[in-house]
This record gives sequence, C-alpha cells and structure tokens, in this order.
Amino acid sequence: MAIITISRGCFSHGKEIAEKTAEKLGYECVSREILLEASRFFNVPEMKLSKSIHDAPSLLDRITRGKERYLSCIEAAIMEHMRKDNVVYHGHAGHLLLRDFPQVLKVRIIADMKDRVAMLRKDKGMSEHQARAFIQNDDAQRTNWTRYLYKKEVSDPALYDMVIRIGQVAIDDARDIIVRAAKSQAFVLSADAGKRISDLAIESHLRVMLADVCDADFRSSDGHVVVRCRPQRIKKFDPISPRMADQMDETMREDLSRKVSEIARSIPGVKEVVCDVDSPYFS
Amino acid sequence: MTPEMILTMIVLAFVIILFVFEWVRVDVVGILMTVLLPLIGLVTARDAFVGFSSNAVISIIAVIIIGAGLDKTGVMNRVAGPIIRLAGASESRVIVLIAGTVGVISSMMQNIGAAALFLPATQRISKRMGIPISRVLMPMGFCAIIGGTLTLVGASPTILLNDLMVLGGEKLKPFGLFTQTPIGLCLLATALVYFIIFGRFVLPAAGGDTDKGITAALMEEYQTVENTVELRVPQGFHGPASLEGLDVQRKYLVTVVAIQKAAKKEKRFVPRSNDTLEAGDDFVLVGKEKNIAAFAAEFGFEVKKGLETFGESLSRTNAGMAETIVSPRSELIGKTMSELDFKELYGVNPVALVRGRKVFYAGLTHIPLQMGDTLLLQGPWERFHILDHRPKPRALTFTTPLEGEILRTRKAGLAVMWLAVALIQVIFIKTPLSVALMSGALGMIITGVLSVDEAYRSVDWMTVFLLAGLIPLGIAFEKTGTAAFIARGVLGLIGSPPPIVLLAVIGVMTSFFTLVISNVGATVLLVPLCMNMALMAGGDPRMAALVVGLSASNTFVLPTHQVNALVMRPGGYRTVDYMRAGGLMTVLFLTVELTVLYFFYGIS
Repeated sequence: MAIITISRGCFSHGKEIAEKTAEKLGYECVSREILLEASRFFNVPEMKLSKSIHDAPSLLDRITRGKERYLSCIEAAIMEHMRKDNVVYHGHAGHLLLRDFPQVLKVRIIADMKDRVAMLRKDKGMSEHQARAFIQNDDAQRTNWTRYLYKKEVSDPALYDMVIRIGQVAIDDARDIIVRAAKSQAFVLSADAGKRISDLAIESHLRVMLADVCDADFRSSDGHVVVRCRPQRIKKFDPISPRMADQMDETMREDLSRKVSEIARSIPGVKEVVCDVDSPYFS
Repeated sequence: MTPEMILTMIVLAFVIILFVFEWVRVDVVGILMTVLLPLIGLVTARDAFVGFSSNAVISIIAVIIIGAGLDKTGVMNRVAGPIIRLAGASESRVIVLIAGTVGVISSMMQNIGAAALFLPATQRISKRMGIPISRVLMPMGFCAIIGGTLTLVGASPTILLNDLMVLGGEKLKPFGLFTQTPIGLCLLATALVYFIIFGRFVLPAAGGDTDKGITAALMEEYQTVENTVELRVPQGFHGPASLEGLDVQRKYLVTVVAIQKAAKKEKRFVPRSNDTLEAGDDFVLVGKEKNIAAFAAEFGFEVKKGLETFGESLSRTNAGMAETIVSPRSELIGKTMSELDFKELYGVNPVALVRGRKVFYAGLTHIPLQMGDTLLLQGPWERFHILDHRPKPRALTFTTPLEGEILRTRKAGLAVMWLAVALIQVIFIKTPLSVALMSGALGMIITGVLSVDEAYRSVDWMTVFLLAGLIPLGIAFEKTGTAAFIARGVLGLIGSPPPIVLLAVIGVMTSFFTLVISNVGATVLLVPLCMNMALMAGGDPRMAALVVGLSASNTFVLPTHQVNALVMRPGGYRTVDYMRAGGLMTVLFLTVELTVLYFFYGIS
C-alpha cells in the first residue's frame, strides 16, 4: 500500500523503471494519460496541457499566469490517481505535489548524458550534436519550470528519498531497490495521510473549477469543504439606489454561493460544503 | 506652457493613475479633487464645490427620486405585467419586448433597476418556453445599458455634458432632454436586431442559475410543500363544495392559497374553510405534486401546466412564503389560529407548523400555539411587510428575509402625473432640466407618493459625490488652457481630419477610456479636450461632447459592469461571452452612433 513518484529526465529509463516497478508491485502506473484525463474532465485542449508541462513559462505566462490554469488541471488529475493509493507515477512534478508527505516514496532516476544521447540517437535517428542539444534544452525547460512554479531545484537530492543513477545500476536492479523500499513500513500510507491526500485532490479540483467563477480561499478537511469567496467587484457606471444595491448584494451572493456549492458537491469525495460569500463592492 | 498647465497635467496624470489602479474608490477621487484643486490654486474655493449645485447633480438626484416614486407605487410592475404576458410566444418576441422595454425604462430610471425588474419574469418565461436563458438575459442587460443613451438623464456621462460644455469661458448651448434620442433609438433597435439575427451565434446556450429566492428555498426545505399548482374546476363539477367539505388539507396535506370565483372574477388570496368551489373556478394549491395529482383525480379537477390566472399575482415579486416563530409573550400563545381568526387578522395562509421534530401540514388551525412554534406562512409580500412593521413586541418573529415591499399602488396615477409634469415642462415650456425634474420629484413628495425621508434614502450618494467632485477638474482642465494646449498638440501630430473622422477617433478613444477608467472620469477628461480638438479642426464642439457622452456607455465587454454583473450568473455567462457578444456590440455601437450623427446631425 504505497504511492511512488518517479522523477526523471528524458531518455533516462525512468518510464521503463516505473512500468516495471508497477508491474512487479501490481500497482497502477500513471504518466501522460493524466493529460488526456485532465483534458476530458476539465474540457481543456490536450495540446495546451502538454505544452504547459513541457515548456518553461515565458515572460508573458509569468505576467498573465496563463499556464497556471493548465497546470492546475494536470495537478488535479494526478491527485485523483494519488488518492486511490497503490500507484506509481512518473513525470510531472508528482514528488513536488506530495513533498509534505514523508510516506510517499519519491525517487529520482538519473543517467549519464552519454547514455541518454545514445538512446535518443537510436530512437530518433538524430546526430550526436542534435541529440545533446535536444536533451539539454529539455532539461533546461524542466529546471526553469520547477524553479518558477515550486521554487525548487530539480537536481536537489533533498527532494527525494533515493536517487538512482542508471548505468552502473541496471534497470532491473533499480526496480528491485524501489520495490523493496516501497514495501518497507516507512512508506505505508497512514489513514491520516490518505485523508490529507484525498483532501488535496479535492482542493486541486476546486482550484481549477472555481478559477472561472470567483476568487476564493478554500480548504477541505476529510471531505468537508469550506469555501470563502472574496468580494466580487462591480464597476459602477450609473446611479444605483441603496435599496437596489442591497438587493443586488443579496442576489449576487446567493447566486455565487449556490454556484460554488454546486461545483464543490460535484467533486468526488466531497461530503459537505459550507460556502461563505463576502458582499460585492463597487469601484 | 504656463505653470498652471503643468500643475493641471500633473493632477490629470495623478487622477488617471487613481482611476486605473483604484487605490481609492472613484467617488473618493471626486472628493479629493474638491479639496486638492483649490489647495493648489487651480480653481477657487467657490468653483471647487460648484459641482454640488450643478444641473447634473440636481438632475440626477431628481431622476433618482422620480424613479423611486415610480418604483414605490408599482407603476413599473404594472408595465412589466402585460409586456411579460405578450412576450411569452417566441424567442424573438421575448427579446424584442422584454429587452426593448428594459431599454426604454432605463432611459428615465436606473438601468440596474430596469434589468432587475424583469429578471425573475424573464427566467420564468424562458424556462416555460424552453429557451436558454442566456439568449435573453444578455440582450436585456445590453439594452438596459443602451437605454441610458435615449435621454440626457439616462446615464451619468450625458447628464454631465451641459455642465462641461464651456469653451473659452463661454457656456455652449445646452442639450435638450431628447437631443440624443434618435441616436439612442437606433442603437436600441440595432441591439435588438443584432441579437435576433446573431444571438444564437454569439451567445452560449447556457442554462444559468435560476434565481430561486426565499420561497423556493423554503419549499425545498419543507418537502411536503414542494409545488404551487393551479387547478380549474370543470364544468361538470357537482358543486358547490366547501374546502372543509372536500377535506383537502387533512386528506392530501395540501393547502388552498388562492381562489378566483368564475362568477365574480374576484381573486381571494386567503381562502377560508367555508369558501366554496364551483364549476369554472380557478384555485391554487401548495403541496406535494403527487398529493395534488391524487386530489385532482378524485374530484376531476383540471391541473394546469403552470400558474395562469394567478401567474402575476402569485409571482415571486408579489407573493411568497415566510417562516416565522411564535415570539415570547405573543398574544397567540395558548390559542388556536381558528379561535383567533388568524387568516382574517393576519391576511396570510398558514401552510405548516413545526413543533420540536414534528411538522403539521393539516389541522394547523386547531392546534393551540406555543412559544417557539415555527409557522410557515404563504401570502402577498405586502402583508408580510405590514406584519413585520408592527410595533414590538410582535406576535410573530420572522426568521427569513422578506422579498418585495409595501407598494402605494393607489398613488400610481399621481406618480405618472408628476413624471408627465416634469417632461411637459422640459419639452413644451423649455424649463431647465434640473428645475423641471426637481419639480416632479417635489410633487411626488408633497402628494405622498413617497415621503421625504424615503426620497433622501433613495439617493445614490456615491454618484452624487463622483459627479460633483469631478466637475471642478473639468473646469480646471478647460480654464487653465490645458485642454486647448493638448488638443493643439494632438492635432499638430495627426493634422486636421474631416469632422466625421475626428468624431470617430473621439468615439473609439472614449470607448477605450471608459473600459479602463470610470465613465464619468472619461467624460470629464475627454469632453474639454475633444471640444477643443473639434473647434480647431473646424467641427462642432457640441457634437464632439455628445460623442464622448454617448460613447462612455459603450461598455458591453466588461463583465464587471453593474448590469452585466447582475445577469452574469443567472445567464450562465463567462467572461469570454462578454468579450465575444460585447465586442461585436461595441463595434456596432460606434458604427451606428457615427452613422446617425453623419446623416441626421449635420456632420460632414
């Protein structure tokens, strides 16, 4: 009963190791299919999701925070798998999403550049120069991306429970090391940690689903969701009598509260919703 | 460039920054100007507060009071009723009649009030006809905004124009109340045609959230009163039969809340147990759907699809439900409602009684009441407000908010008369707008349409201080020669375009500024500038001012606009929907405005 996240650079055999580990443990192995799931669930083009996790955010993205919405969709899809437990996840920042959970086994797979280049050349038929540039660019994108979103260095060993260098260690040996670790008591998910992961999954869904609706703070505790919607801004253009302003205040708060509660209740695992909406303000 | 000009430009830049970043609210910027401008010597102390006695401010106060008077007497509800009945036939008719009426009403009333008046009925109609609500609410909202362009007092920017139209220290000829009406009418017609033809392409087919209100929430809570259904007694009915005789409440746990006798066409909203039902009568029941169906089946009553005869009188704006608690020391304690003649005394229908964990739906009137009993009551909102206004200690304490308000329907004629008096003065006697409108407002107060306190309470002080505070900024902009200086600089850069091209540039510029800063702010800043530009380019400065005033209502793309914000969730709209539908409307607005000006206002 464990959650294993495998972080890897491209062409480092990470995918292969994750799949073999999952197979040996009888766990679900999850990676890029989460993009399709997120795309379907949140009705967002898969291409945009794919670009958002691959490319480092541009200056415009940083100002408009354009990519964050797509990343939130992906996070929600990842968390949906995590809450089910018994899962091996490889790829997008799973170890960072669950960094506060010591029971989640976080593995980093690295490989020598020479081996990675050789693998890419064999796979895509590139020249050595092209292959090296491709890998360096990919690594740089991931490094920038992690730095921007999580303020962490992807190469920091403190983020992981183990770092395995493929080359000297064979792929099957790496798998066995991970399987053995996963079976140890330290990586058995406690009931409380399971609940918290489930709550995180709910919160990540809320982050995506409320993004278009309102600006809100929310928290889930064992499926009991509390949402506090920040005041909505109304741009005043013409006179509004105080009575009408009160009526508008009440109507808008009621509408928003109903909408938010409806959205929150549609998220799997939500047991109860308490929604508090602040009065709108005129500007 | 004089030192005053430099100082004015610094103040202007400061004001624009405040408008854009909204560190303080727009009306506070206005108050700030009344203090800052005389302190730095750009205007005299007298000029700093001249806005408070301006035509614009007095007119807007008077218009608000007149609107409140019309509201208080239910005149608008009377207008809304027939329009809604006429509208319920096709999607195009709903859009034309409802949105068109909202547009016309908002030419003299607050646009948000006009939209809010029709919102619940529009939701009801669209649900009944199966039209997506999103196809109707945005047209209605846009027409409420456009309605402001129909008269000079319809929107804040145009009200300001006459006070801002000063060139070289001389006041220009003021605009009349209806100078802009042809443009406004064409804009309204364009919006209606646009939505009828392109509505399905630019509007989403969203369901939106139905604004349920207190009554629906209570009906959901008390599951046995989940429905309000109208029935008709068929011609073959062996009657008359009394409600007590039919044993309707005890056998079916349903309550009769209204009856219309076929013979007298008279509606009773608090039916008594000895009231009878005869062939041709219509009546309304509150209760569980299957219980109502069983009751109707037993006696052969015809169940109608919705509320027909009582559609308006029992609509959410006129009647509903309220939950009350028997107060400590209430005169009701220890007595039954039957002994007290409760229905006669209170004028509302008891529907359920909750005591502890028990809920009684039948025989309520024979249960001696105790302190803390919860009574679910149904009736006209007006009756509930009367009960709520009784001196304390009240027999019943309301636990739910009340909708609607006490209307002085008998004063409706007077309210309309005073509006007419004001308009006649403007149109035929050429009385200044502020005097004419204030005389209408005063007439309403004197004849008891609304009390003077109610009139004071209805005034929107945010708008008053915004207008009054920014007028001196406009004065300083013109008086110091800064407006002429900037105008000369701009024309030096772009040359002297033909008047219509200049007006087009002014229209686009104002539309943009209005989106970024407040519409009143944009008007105050642009009217002096654009009038100078028009004068220097050989155009009519009054027309330049008019284009600024009208274009300041070109705000359809903003989801935060007060009207758009009101209909956003009920219509199920997203920001992108306003961008798409509002973007096209913005272009159409400018095109039609300039076309009408070109052909009918002597612009070449």
